[in-house]
Amino acid sequence: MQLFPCPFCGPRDETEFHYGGDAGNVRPDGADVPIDRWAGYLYLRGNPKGTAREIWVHMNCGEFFVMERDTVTHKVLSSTALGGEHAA
Amino acid sequence: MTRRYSALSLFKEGLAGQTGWKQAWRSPEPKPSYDAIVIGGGGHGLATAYYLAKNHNISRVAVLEKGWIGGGNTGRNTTVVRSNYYYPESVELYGLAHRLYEGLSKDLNYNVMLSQRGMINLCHSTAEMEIGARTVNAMQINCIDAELFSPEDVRRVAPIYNFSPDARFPVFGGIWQGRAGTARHDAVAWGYARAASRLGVDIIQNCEITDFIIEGGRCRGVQTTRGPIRAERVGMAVAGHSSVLAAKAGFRLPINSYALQACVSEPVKPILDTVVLSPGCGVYVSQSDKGEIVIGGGLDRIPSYAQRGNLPTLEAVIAGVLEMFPIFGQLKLMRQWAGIVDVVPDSSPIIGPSPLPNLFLNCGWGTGGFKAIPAGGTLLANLLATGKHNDVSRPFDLDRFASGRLIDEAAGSGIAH
Amino acid sequence: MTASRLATGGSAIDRSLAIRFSFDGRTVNGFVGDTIASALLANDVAIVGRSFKYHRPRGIWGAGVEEPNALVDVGGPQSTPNTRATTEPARDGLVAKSVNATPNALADRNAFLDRFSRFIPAAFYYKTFMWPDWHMFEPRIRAMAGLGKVDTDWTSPGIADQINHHCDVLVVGAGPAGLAAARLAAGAGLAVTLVDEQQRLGGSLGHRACEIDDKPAATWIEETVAELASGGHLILPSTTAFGIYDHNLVGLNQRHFDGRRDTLWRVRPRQIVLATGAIERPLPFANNDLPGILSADAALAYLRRHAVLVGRRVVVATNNDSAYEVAGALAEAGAEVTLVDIRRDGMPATPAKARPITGRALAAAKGSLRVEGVTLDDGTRLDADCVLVSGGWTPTIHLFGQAKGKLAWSEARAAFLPGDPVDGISVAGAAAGAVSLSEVFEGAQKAVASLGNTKAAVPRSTGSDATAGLTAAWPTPGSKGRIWIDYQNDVTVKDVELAARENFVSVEHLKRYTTLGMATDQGKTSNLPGLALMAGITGRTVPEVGTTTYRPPFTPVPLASFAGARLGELMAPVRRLPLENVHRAGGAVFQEYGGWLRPAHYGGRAADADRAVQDEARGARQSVALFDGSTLGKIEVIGPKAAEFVDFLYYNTMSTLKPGRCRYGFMLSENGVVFDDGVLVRLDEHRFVVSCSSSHVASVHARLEEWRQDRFGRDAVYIHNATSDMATLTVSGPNARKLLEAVNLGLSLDEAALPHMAIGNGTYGGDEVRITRVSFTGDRSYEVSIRADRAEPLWARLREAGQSLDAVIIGLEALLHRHRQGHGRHHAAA
Repeated sequence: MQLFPCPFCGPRDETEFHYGGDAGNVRPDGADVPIDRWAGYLYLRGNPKGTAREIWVHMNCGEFFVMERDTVTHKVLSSTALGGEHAA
Repeated sequence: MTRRYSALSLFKEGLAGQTGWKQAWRSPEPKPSYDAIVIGGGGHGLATAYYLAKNHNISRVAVLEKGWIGGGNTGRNTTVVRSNYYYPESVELYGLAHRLYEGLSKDLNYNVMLSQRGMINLCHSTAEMEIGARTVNAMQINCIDAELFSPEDVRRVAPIYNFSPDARFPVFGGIWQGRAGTARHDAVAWGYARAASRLGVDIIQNCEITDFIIEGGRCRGVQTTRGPIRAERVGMAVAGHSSVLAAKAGFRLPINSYALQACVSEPVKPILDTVVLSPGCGVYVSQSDKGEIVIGGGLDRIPSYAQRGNLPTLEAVIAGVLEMFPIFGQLKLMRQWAGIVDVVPDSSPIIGPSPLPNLFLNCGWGTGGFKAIPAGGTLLANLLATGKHNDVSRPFDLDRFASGRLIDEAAGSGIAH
Repeated sequence: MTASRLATGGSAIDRSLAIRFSFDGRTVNGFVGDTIASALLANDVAIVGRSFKYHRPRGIWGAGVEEPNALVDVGGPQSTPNTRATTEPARDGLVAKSVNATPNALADRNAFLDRFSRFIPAAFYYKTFMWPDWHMFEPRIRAMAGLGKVDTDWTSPGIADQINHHCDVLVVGAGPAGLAAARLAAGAGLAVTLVDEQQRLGGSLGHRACEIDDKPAATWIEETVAELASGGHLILPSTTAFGIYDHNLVGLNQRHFDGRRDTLWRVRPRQIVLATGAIERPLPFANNDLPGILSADAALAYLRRHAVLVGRRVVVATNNDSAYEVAGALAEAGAEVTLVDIRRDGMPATPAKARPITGRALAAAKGSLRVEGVTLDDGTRLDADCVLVSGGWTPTIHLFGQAKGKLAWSEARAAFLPGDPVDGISVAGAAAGAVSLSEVFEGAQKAVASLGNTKAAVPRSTGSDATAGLTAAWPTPGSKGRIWIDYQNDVTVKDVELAARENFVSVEHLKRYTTLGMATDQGKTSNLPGLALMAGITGRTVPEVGTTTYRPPFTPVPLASFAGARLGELMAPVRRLPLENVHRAGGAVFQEYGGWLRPAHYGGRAADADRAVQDEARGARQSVALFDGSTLGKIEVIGPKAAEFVDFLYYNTMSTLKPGRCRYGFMLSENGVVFDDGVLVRLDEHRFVVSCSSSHVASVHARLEEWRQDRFGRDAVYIHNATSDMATLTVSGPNARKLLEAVNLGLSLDEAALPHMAIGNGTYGGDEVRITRVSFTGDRSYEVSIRADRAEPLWARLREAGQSLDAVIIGLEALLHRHRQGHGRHHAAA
């Protein structure tokens, strides 16, 4: 059982959280976005082995946040409130 | 020296103290170059090498494995073989694998213990039965054996199931595939390794890829912990770690890595003859030929590369098992483990050229790669030999994520991969 | 073996409380405090089981969790197959049966298999049974598989408790190292939890002679435990730490002996101290699996704890000092003891009354159903009814390994020890390679030193102290005879040699190919000898061969412990309608739809369910139907940017919607697939209600929150999921308006006042109601939403008013029925 630090509620059991995708995955804007750019946004992932920056939601309080953690050791490095992760 | 496996050779070797057996596969030093390199010595990689030699007469092939062969998901899965899929593309793919599995022991001269004891996917409501009927119809149209089972039929194949009216997920019937079953997972890897090695393939263990050799924008080989190895064509079949290699080759994949856990009970005398999956309980259960109750559930909910079991998923899965089979409340858990799987948005694999020319992909099998090993090997071998898709592999190209022609089996058949 | 109970002694047994139980139909006498194994030994039961593959007769080997042989099925309400006899308390009336033996362990019908062993070596099944087909052979092979039997008449004795627990220090193992560490940590003001898998605390101190702080060990244990208990620290005997998981969460399984099921503890300590001891290894010699060959340390435990003398003419074979105390104690107790030591020099003094033979190893054991003697490597034959062996000690570092701790090979100890430290975990005592009590206490002090200054004194060993003095004695290639490495799974030296010959030289391949270490004991006695042999065969060192991965659980844990209370409805709770009881009273037949328990139809039994559905649908078309649509999503979007927000969410433009009106719309997933559809209501300029599908409420809500927080800002939009706040009662059909007017909700239902796709506000019984005029049947429909806790009177009133109109109450199936008549299937929208 991992402990994740919700920036609003403090450390809680992993079962209270839901993974919300890559942080910093910028959503294309406008009408003339090339297909590859859309496909990249929608599907292509870094999926790093090691340090990852991810969006998580603490389901109990409903707040989203960005968490940095190691996908091999499961060590949590940081967590901050969400804001502007999908913006250019 | 005894090469061929048979009851007779086993008897003769018995008289000779079992001392005449050859190595199941050779462990040569890597050569500087090959016609083709297959990265990953799991089932898919070894099968690829075997079919390159067998189907395409290309035997200057190396399989490069960073650890020991069959040590990834091939040796960690719950060994279910089935082809109960919804879309025609999937049926072609998994149907091919299923047919090859049925002849595999004789083909490889290695008993992979394919045990076709049938599999029942339960339906827990009227609505699920309607979807079940749709799936069965689709399978039959696509020439895959399937039957819609009534509750009485389910009782016949799994009498110890929880048919209590108080069950959380009552049984309304199920989707039965009689040809489904299990195979011995390690034997599949070792059998392919032995057969490939006998056809001249070099299987090189403890050989990790550190980089790709890229010249003129094309893949020309790999840098490894055992030196550079060159080849005209390179295939990768490294489930769980596909993104890591892709990063070395300079591209990204539509994949997230997750742990998938499995566990077994202590061995008991035979009590469960078939594979039973309850979508409600989120669990599937079978009994191995050693007597262990083999338990699989859904993915962990946290992206991870740690091949390590944990409690939250285990607890949910075991609760599902006891809901399905209350009498298993007597049993004890003997071993728990995890493998890392490639999870793709449409729950279908990726087979085809990669963005780096001359590098070909076999990845994205999610939780269901084991059952597809013979097909995954056949198709990657075809790609490495010809550089082109055939009709079976074409729909599974990486380009579907740009074209939008996804093959969403999770939504289609309602069967988790 | 002629084992017997001595007239006096036995620290664990209570001679005033005699018990009687049965094993394989035979009556066994014992005392409270006996394990099944100690009682079987006291009754001279030599053969307690059969091995997995060759059905070799097997006796008791150990006295603890490492036991590979003595597994029994315990019957009765607490029936558990494959119960370890060495750790299971004997109790009066217990019925135990040997596993994998027909009809019993003594006269097993399948014993003949052993004679064919040369033809069925490790992994033989991969080489045959292919022609004509595996399916012809599998059923018979399958029937041979497995150990214990599942009792099909078994019913659950209840659910297992699960407890979450926090502490400063969790000490695993209450032997000398664990007790000392716990006491030192307690002295530093820390909250300590001390667990041990045995019923009696003290570990090896329970049977090894020693003196601590000038007191007998028993006194020191008692005082230490009393001190911890009075300090408010938690002490859990009969509790196994079976796994260390992510972020150092420790899983414990606590046994009870009062009919309750085991308890699962999830412990989150700041610091873990592993004081898990060490396990004695066997020695390699031919037929080393015969009944009557025991771990030397186990024999001492049986003698001192249970007053069981395991043999009369005893050969003690060793490669280290620890067996000397055993030899001395057995000789003292009246056995004729020969002590065979592999070493020529550097040994302790031979105990009085024991006959020493030095520089010799056992070559073979003789006997068929039990050991009758041994042959030494110089050909000397010795008669014996019992052979006790000590091949050295394997530190119990499974939990350290599970926590991904790196191991370091110690040539001196001939064992892997904990290597680089792991955050939050320290290892002390024999698990860290300590042998003498002085080393043990020094290690315990180190293990807790970083946690703060302690007021407690470090214990001192004041008696004679143990010494290690060990010469490795691994199985070697080319040995004569059949030398067992894994007893339960029948893996011999020849099997490991075969694996090496066939290139299964990686330690993981060795394990999988031969099944070495894959039995229920998980190789506690066999793994190290197996990989040392592989090292010898392949010319590598033991650390070059390496170990297999340590996986939980340390010992098998009941499935019920993991499941806890999560059975039946608690496994996956259904969502329930506010009016469920009213529907039940009205004869509703419920089914689950998208996680909600909803009326499928009313009246009618299963046999005429179709008829009931038809009647309901007809009634709805002919007059008017009442339908409970409370599950419909009602997510409010509020704030200055609410209109901009819903434009972003929906595929259609929604900001042009006028207050008081609603509009059908749909949302796409990011990749362009329709994700949800439904009606959006605009209550006022800055307030909307998203009516999403019943089964999509959670996912739509999450999607709204994510875009709100990431793109629009927490201050610009506020989202409130009001789905369960309100019940929604639907009135639909040609007479819908007539019915609603009869109920009188205090608003005009005129076409002009409440046209299609408009909302109106009324009251009922003093509560506000919101009426939305939408239709998903094609007929006129009104959705009436009211506070969930006030819905019942309104529903009753609607029914009452409907009587004169022949109104019907319809379930979800009738609603879905319309789809089958032309509409696309989309029951989630209902």
